[in-house]
Amino acid sequence: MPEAFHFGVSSRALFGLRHPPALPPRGAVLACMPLLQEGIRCQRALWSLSEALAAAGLDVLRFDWYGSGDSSGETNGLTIAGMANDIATAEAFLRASAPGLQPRLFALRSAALPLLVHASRRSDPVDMVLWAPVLDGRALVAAWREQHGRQLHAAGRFPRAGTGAGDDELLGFVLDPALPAGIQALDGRDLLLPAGSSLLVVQWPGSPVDGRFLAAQREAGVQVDCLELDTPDEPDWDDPDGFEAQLFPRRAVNQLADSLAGSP
Amino acid sequence: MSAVEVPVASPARLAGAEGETAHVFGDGLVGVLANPAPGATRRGVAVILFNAGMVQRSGPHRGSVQLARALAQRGFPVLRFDQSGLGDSPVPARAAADRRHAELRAAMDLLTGETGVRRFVVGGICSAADNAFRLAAVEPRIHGLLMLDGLAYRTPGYWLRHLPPRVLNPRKLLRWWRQRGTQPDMADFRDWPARSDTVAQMADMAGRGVRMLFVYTGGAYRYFNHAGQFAACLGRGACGANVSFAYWRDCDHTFYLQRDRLRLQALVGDWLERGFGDPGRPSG
Repeated sequence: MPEAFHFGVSSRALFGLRHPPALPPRGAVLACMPLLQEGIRCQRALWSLSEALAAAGLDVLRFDWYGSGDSSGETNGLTIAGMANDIATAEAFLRASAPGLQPRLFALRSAALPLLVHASRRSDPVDMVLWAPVLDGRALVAAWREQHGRQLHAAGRFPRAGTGAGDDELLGFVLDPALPAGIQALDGRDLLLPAGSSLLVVQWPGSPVDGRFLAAQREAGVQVDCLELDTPDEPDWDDPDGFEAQLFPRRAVNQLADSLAGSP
Repeated sequence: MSAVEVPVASPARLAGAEGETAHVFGDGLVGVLANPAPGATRRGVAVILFNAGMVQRSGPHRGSVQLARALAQRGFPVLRFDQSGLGDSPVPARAAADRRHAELRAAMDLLTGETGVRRFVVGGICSAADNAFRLAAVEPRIHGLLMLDGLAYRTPGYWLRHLPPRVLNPRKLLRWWRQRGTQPDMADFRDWPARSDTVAQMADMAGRGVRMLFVYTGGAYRYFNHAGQFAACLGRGACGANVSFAYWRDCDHTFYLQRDRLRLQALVGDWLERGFGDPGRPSG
């Protein structure tokens, strides 16, 4: 049965959901949620992945960024630096919970950016899994702004034309303008893992991860492996009509769980 | 949030955050309880928010978190939890006709144990409202319903307002023709009782003194499009003194704008204080 709790420091308490294995763990995974609406839409898929990994003997911790989900703070408290710190806090917590195990760091889509920021600042090697990572911060924010405009004016959400949101609102969230600005300034292709790290990049067929990113990591002394999923069930991330819908590519989740469970 | 920063030696867990505590209860249901703010008047009822559709307990755009924290500031304990098969809660191991009721009972027992409160207001957006309405028929501890884009029934007046602008607009007509049968309708997701049963339940709940707040938004336009439709479809029970109603045509179904989330917090908070503002017994 999962364990739900808050951890960290009281001024920045994070919500955590731990999926402990029934038997002594043979590995640990720290799963980072995608940002904003994507995090809400992928929640059940990551829950399912975490449950499958726990069933395979891995100790999994998912957590909400400060200012998101059930963590403390308001959404305008989300910052890139803060998210990188949250990862450090969560990783320390997981290490203490599962002594002797180096947590594997996992990110889906937009969660790749804060995770890469976190890892690139470290000197010790990390073991990382990036699933369909979003590496281009500028393109990500542009897609968010386009989607926000569609939700306001084109998706049929509001009956009257000209409905406006606050200048600090994006995708239904109130944000510090520094967050989109900070993400825009990020290019994950420039964020290198420490030498000796392991990186598994998981991708759907037809959606290859930027070759420049993979080459740069290898050049930096990172062991890079790629897993192309068998099933072409990648969701349409930008479909305005599916903006509120849960994204649960079930076959991809199952294949990924099998793969990660087999290589802790 | 406490101004005092307490260093935590991992893997210690915090007792709570911003007055909130995390819980796993029942058959593995995951929820977060927003406790009344220190110094706030302690109330005699607690609020339970269900999942809005498939969205986890934080709600669309984190609206349930915001609502829970706003109500806790006014002294109302609020539990947001994932019903089985949603969010962080597991799929039930066995089917049971009264599964949702059993989950609600577990949530109410948790709240009573944590706060001492024994009367509850339940609800939320969309399917949350539908679930709450259904459960209020069989659960005597429910004293209030929060119905956000909850059930309603199309009336002749609805069709008179709905159809002409569409039939007479070639662009809309063409779009409807192209999309016919390809897009799910609200009825595909909602499981409402027969209208006559709902009318009877409204009257019964009025007799029991259950207070109800109905809010319909412009996002419910597929089945609700005018303030007058409320009484027209739900009968005399909709006109009772214990029923409050608002129609926000300029608001969407999931409260996308902060403006709308804030006015919802104010509306619900004021309604709760009017109907359930009596101080409760001190807990524990």
